[in-house]
Parts: sequence; structure tokens; C-alpha cells
Amino acid sequence: MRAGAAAGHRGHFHETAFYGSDEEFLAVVAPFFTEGLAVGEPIISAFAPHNQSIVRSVFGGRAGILFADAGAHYASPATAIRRYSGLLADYVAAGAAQVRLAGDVPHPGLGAPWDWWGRYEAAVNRVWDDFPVWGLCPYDTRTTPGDVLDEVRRTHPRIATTAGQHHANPDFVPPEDFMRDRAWSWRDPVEDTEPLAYLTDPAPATVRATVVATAPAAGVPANDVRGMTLAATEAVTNAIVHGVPPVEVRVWAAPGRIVVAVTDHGPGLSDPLAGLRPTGAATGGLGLWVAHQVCAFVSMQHRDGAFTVRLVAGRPHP
Amino acid sequence: MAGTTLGGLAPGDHVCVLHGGLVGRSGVLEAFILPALDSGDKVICRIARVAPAVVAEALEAADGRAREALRSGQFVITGARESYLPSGAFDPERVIDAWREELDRIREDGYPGMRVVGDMSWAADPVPGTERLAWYEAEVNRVFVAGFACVVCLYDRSTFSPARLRQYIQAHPGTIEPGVPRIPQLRLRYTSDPRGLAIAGEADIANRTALAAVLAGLPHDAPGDGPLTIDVSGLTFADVGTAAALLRCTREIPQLRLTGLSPYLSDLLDMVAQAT
Repeated sequence: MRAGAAAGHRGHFHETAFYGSDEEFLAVVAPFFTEGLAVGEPIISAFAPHNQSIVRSVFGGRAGILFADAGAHYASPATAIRRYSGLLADYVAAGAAQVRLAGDVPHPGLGAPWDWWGRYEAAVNRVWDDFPVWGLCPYDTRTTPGDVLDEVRRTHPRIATTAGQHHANPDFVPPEDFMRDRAWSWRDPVEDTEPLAYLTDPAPATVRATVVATAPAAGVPANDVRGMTLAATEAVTNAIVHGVPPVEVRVWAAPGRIVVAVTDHGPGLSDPLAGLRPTGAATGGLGLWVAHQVCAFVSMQHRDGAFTVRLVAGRPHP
Repeated sequence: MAGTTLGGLAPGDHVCVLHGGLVGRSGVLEAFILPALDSGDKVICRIARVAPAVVAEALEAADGRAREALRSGQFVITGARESYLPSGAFDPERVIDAWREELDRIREDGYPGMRVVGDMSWAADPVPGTERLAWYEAEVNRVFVAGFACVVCLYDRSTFSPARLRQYIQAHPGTIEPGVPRIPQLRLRYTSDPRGLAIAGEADIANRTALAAVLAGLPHDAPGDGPLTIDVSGLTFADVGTAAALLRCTREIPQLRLTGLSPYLSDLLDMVAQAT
């Protein structure tokens, strides 16, 4: 039997909350943890350092809370899904009636670009629906950009308030609709400059050679460059095999990062899980999923009849 | 054209050369044919669009070495249609069998190796069976990977649709384009000790079906018998599709061993293994 507001719910009880101070943060998170501790439900706390220290000052040392390293868990959405799925499966196998999971999802206010985290917030409604998990994703209204908050409202079916209420969110839309109607248009600022290379219908080997040639100018670690050659190969392969020509590849280098944009003129992918889970192997899903793990950032954009996958190696610009 | 690249080809290579017409073909003689004649290899040219006798006559007039080889039988020029379409239709199994016999015969004749140039422009004509050309180009790798013959297939860019051309490219381990001098992307060779296959170079969509055909045929084609080893120490790049193909081999072929895995390839195989 699941305790609290999620009692009787099947699957992922996915809730957001909006707070504007440390006190409001605690007003949302403290009861969530206290209630779980009282009934022995496992708790995962995966906040960024500031919020994690607030939680620790209240609950530090309490058995029953796993303080997870947010940096490692939220390295990328594909990593987060993989790691949490493993933890959830372990807790459920050990007999947990419900797992409580709360953390800081990265966004520009926390120094990371948003795009793929928006897809993550939509996708986890499906991905964890096999688990009795209550996911709480509080967002700080002082630091979270407005367009991110808009997407948070569209991806969480439930809202917790600082007054201790839990109610359904009227702005929520199913993940498939969210992906289809999404207007998000992240661009790296380096895209305003002339690309180092502009290739039309290139062979993947040519794209790899181009990426390797840009590495010295960017000063990106060799392993990240290697990851980019793989990710760019997969994006170009998907565009060749599943997209509509011409396939256009642009490559930029900025201090600390390489940016590759692969555009084709097909409908692209609308599966909200694309890239986040190894789904749709027949339609390039596996390559995209690997790209999401080896890159520092991946965004996907549908615009004007074109589909663009942007890949970043090194340190992404928020 | 990419003359230096053609000069760097080795026994066991099977490459697709994309060209833009007659001008493109001229480099093949200097870079590919004459050096082979000098080293005593058998050279076979299968030409289309021009009568073999006309080409032979021109070559005899142009080059003493070619003249001598044409007269001795070391250098043979035949019509591509007669070679690929003996019955008037394209019958890939029959052409592959003919290759096996021809390679055996040329080995028996004592030649140290063999070079083949095939002009594939006949396939642009409405010939029955050409829809199986991509399958043939992939499958015939199983003969050439044995390492005796070095084969160049000429495809005229202007006569095939991009979609068809892409299928033909993917069926060759390597593709050479004018102005892009580099060795063939992928090299596949059977090995006898240990029994199996050595894979070197870069494997991706550009040679996907070539590798798939060789891997699928490996238990049957590798010399000798006993457990199989695939040596990937020379594989400098593998994409996700390649990793999936290698994993499939390890799952489907009993006792198969992968050796020479780089940390990179090892990580990639782990990632793909989790997902499939």
C-alpha cells in the first residue's frame, strides 16, 4: 500500500512544485520525506549541492534516505533513466510498496541547457510507469527560466504546493502531444558564427574526419572527441537512412566545446522516448540513444519541415 | 582520379570506384593495371560500352608492357555483359560460382595474384536480375576476402540513382571517390591461425552490408574448422550498427571469440548489449 497522496495510484506519480525561497523548498520536500520515513518507504534525494545541504541539515544521517550524487545521476537524461531504473528495480525487488524520489533536474539556472531535460520530464511519465514511484521535481522560480517553467507545467500531471496540498495539474499534456507540439528551439550561441565546416550529403567517415580536425581548436578532451565522432556518425546515418535528403552537417568549435548540427528534411522523430531509451532500433533509436550517452548535450528540433539533431562535446553552453 | 589510392590497394580489397564518365577511368590503367602487370599478376578487365577489341588495340598501341601482357594472356579484356550476363540475365549465384572457379584456375596457372576491373555500367540497362546486384556485391566479398584477388568495380555516378548507388556502396568494404585520396575504409581478411577473420579500418553504414555478408558466411567460409576468432585490433572505428552485428555473431556462432577489443569498442559493445 502506497502512503500519502499517491495512495491507490498505479505507476509513476509524477509531481512538480514551485518554490521561491529555501523555506518554501523545505515546506515541499520535508513533509514528503518525513511521511516516507514514517512508513519505511525508500527515499532517494538527488538535489544539487545547495538544496542537498538544506535536506541534510534536516534529515542528515537518517537511515532510509539515499543521498545520490546529482552530478552523476543527472549527467544526461539517458544516464538518469538508466541509473534510476536500476535503483527502482532493486527497491521493488526488495519489497518496497513505494519509492520516493526527489531531485534537481538541470536547467540553465543550474548551469545546463534544458532541451533534453524537457524530453526527460515528458518521457519519465512513461518510462517509470511500471514502478510504484513518487517522483517530486521541485523548481526554483528565482532561477528557472520562464520557458523552462512552461515545459515543466506541461510535463507533470501532479503539482504539490508549499501549503502541503497535492492536486492534479490541468496544464499537463501526454508526452506524445508534448513532443509533437513542442516549440523549444535551443541554439548554441556559436551557431551565430560561420561554421568551420558545412557538408552536404557527406559520408559518415568525412564527418568524423572533420570533427577530429576541429578538436585542437576547441581543446576538448580526446575521449569526448571520440564520443562526438560516434554520435555524429549515428546522427548522419539516421538522416541518410530514415530522413529525407539533402543531409546538411555543420560543425563549430568554441573554447571547450564542439557543436555538430545534422539536418535532414524529413519528419524526424516524435517518440518522446527517442534517444532516452534504446527504443525503435529499426528506426535509428539505438544510435540516437548511444549519442545521448556519449555527448555532453543533445537537442532535437522540428522546424520548417526540417529535423535537426544538435550534438555538443565538451562543456555545453547553458 | 584517386590514382594514389588505387595504387595502395592490396589483395583482398574489393572497392567501389565512383566516377563521372570516361575521363575518370583513365587513371585505372596507370595506377592499378600496369603495376600489377609488372609484379606478374593476372589482370582481368571487364569493360562495357566499348568493344573489348577496340580497347585492346588502343592499349597495345599506347603501352609496350600492356601489349606484351595482352598477347601472353596475363592481361585479359572481356566484355562486361558476356561476363556478368552469360545468359542475358543477371544471375548472381552463377557469377559468384564463376569467380570461385576463375580464382582457382588462375592460382593453378601459377600467378601470384590477380587484379580485376569491372565496369558495372551495364547494370543501368534494363537487364533482368539487376535488382539483385547489391546482394551480389555484398555476397561476392565472401570470395574476395580470401585475399588473392584485388577487385575494383567502376560505377558511373551519372547513370544510377543516389538510392541505388548507396546500396552498391554499402556492399563494398571500401569506396573511392575522385579527389578523396584514402585507403579503402574497411579491410576484411580470413585468417587461418587462429581460424577466423581480421577486420581493420572503419566500419559504418558505408560498408554495412559488405561486413554483414562476410560475418554471416564466416562459419562456412573461414579456412579449416574449429572455433572462430574475429580479430578487431585493427578496427579503428565501429558504429552502433557494427557493434550490433558483432554482438549478434558472438550470440549466434558457438565458441566465437572477439580479440583485440579497444577500450572504446568494449564500452560500445557493453552499451549495445544492454539495449538489445
